[in-house]
Amino acid sequence: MLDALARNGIDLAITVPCKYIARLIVEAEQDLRFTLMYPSREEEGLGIAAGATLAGRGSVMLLQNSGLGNMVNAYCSLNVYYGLPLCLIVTYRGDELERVPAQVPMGARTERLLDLLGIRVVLLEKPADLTRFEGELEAHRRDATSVAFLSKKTFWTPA
Amino acid sequence: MTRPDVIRAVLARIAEDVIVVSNIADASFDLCHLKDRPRNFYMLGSFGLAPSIGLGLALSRPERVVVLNGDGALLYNLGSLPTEGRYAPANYLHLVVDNGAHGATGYQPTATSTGTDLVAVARGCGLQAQRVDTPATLDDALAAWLATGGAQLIVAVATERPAAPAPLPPYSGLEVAARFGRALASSRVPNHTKSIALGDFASGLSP
Repeated sequence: MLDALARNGIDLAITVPCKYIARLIVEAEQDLRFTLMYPSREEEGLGIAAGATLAGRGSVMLLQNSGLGNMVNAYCSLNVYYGLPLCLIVTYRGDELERVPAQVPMGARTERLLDLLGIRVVLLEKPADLTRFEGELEAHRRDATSVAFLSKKTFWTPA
Repeated sequence: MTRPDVIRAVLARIAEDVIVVSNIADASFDLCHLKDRPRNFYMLGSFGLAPSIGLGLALSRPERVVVLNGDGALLYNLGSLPTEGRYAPANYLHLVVDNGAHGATGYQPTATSTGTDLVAVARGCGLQAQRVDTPATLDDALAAWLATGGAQLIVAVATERPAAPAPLPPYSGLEVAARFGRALASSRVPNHTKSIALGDFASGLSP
């Protein structure tokens, strides 16, 4: 994943973490091709990513789907209004494998929320789905459209 | 001081290549009205995110970045201060026009009007920070930052209300972003950045 991001000119990773992607975050932090930042909350990370985009720099946000709810107004009035595409790697909490019941209501609304916002959803359910990642990433960069790689627990830690 | 007085002081000091990100509503209206420049980013939505956009720019570009924020907007995204203190690009200035109120929505009082000390909060987050309340002390603070750099917060107390609101910028969001992006893309490494200590700036860019 990091290789594909780097090949597509993305060198800034901004995260409000999730346990599912703890390893990816460590790898991004140790990878000299990337700068990793931890904003206080997702909306702030979206602002940092927008500043990078305006500067011509590629960025990705790594977050939980719960954090999408914290970005809705900012996505509309910043990314949509100014035409700034966003690249999101979103962990899909609140599905049938979820251990934390409070994650379930947001999980049930996540795909509809992304659809409403006009963000393209690429579902990553199993490790083999990684083959779709780079092509979709290239389309995001080429067409300047927002994309959310919505990734389930079974993608990160297969049974 | 009024908010336009503060913005005039900034405009009088900054070179052409300095990037300015202005808070939603009046700060953006005043900035565009006083001096419309391609390197102004007029933020007209996303309340609170001016310092975050400015931080993303400062970490990605060599030029100086000035964020024109308000006290209400900073209180809304107070979590931006620890992030600024943590990554601390030396080319970054967060200038808060503090009128103690949400001016754009009818001057409802904010917490700074009842004693919240943004300078103390910023210092607690590892930023250099100071309060100024006259045009002369503001000008001194701006001159000092332009001379030395360093991630910094200046709170400019400006409780005097401006006479009349400035008009809206005559651009769509797409036009603002496209013009701003083109202006940055046209110059990769401006000369004046030699005045920024290379070590400090590089530390803001490293993982």
